[in-house]
Amino acid sequence: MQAPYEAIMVRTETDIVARCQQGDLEAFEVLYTLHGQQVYRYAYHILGQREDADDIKQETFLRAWQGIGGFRRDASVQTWLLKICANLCRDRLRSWDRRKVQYDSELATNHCQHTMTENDPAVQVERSHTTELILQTLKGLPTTLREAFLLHEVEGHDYDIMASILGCSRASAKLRVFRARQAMRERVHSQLKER
Amino acid sequence: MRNAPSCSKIQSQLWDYAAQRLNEQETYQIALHLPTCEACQHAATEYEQLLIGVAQLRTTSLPASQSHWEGLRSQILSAPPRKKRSWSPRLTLFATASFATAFGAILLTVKLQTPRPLEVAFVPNITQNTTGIHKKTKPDSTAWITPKLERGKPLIAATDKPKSNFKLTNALYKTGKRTQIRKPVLTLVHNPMPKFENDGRTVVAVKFAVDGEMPLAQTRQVYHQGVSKTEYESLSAQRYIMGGVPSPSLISQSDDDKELRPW
Repeated sequence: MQAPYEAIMVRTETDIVARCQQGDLEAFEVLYTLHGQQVYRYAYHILGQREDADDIKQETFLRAWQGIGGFRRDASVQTWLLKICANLCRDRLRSWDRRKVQYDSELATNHCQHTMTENDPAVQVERSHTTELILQTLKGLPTTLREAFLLHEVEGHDYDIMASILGCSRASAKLRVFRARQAMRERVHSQLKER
Repeated sequence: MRNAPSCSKIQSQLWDYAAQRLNEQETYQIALHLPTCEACQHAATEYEQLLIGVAQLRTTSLPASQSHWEGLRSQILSAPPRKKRSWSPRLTLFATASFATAFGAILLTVKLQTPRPLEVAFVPNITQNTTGIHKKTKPDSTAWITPKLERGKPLIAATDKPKSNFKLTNALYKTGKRTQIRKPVLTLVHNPMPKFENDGRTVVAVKFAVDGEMPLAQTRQVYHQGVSKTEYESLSAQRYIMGGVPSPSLISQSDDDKELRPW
């Protein structure tokens, strides 16, 4: 059976959104297939837990379906979805803060299991340590800097899109990225020296 | 020689330099600078190491998501249509209370602005000015009114020239424990006031407001230009009852006025 997104692939995003706005669930499935993984990845990096990231992903798309009638197309669907996702993640982190839930180290552990792509074991170990360190450092950053770093450095969004997702100005987004980079460099290398 | 501002600018670009995101000119400038500056060189190396780690974050696969379209689909179908954001009960209560307060305030304002029938019009005693700055004024055209000033109550006097000038020369104000003498602003209230016949002339009651609020009745003196002392004295003995019963407090106030008369 042909997957629905294949059948509609030739259509532009505008057409898909228009169909979603008319209540077409199949068109919405296309959006889910196209952007689901990115939403999940962002939530996973911010929250550090698979269950929560899954939860946020579903919630993001549920909200998107409920609000797609009001989608004005002044940003791309991807930006809009990430904006919803970022807001939900912030809410989740705030609820954790209230309940004093610790950021889980599952993220670092899982990543280390998936990063063994190099043949040289020494390089593997070295890179695994660096990745672990980066994740640990990222986890220690304030949420605003973490969001900025992930969106710019990991997801590769430019400052304008970042500003739209984070609900801040372009200059503020740029400053956050700059500060996040500095903080990352200082923290990672101070820990490398300790080792 | 190390140039500090240059270094700070270079260091702000080192991440992008390491990520090869700079244009040719910027890259060239940094490449020229790095061999001459140990600190920037060190920072560049650290950024490069960091970028390798970040690149791995991008390329590595995450633990597979356990959520699927079918789950979302069933959630969408079972979820009730999203209602437009409605006000919370607390907000509704607050809005209702605000509306009621505003409505009450409007009603009160309308009621206050409606001319009330005056119970008593007091024609104050007129005295000749003998002191102060008004000595030079002509006795015939100058008269002092020593009315009963009460806090919050407008002054009502009688004149046949309601458009003539009235001045309250001074009054005592009490602010907390301090008492001040100052010249208040006397405003003629132009709402229609009753007219009276007095010796064949029409006398109009006039109403004043003093600074929106009456000062303390200590050295109250209203200077009225245009009505002679004799004319006022002829009125002073009278009390005009306008649509009501005279208040005992107003009847007894002439005694107070005697004490407070400036002469």
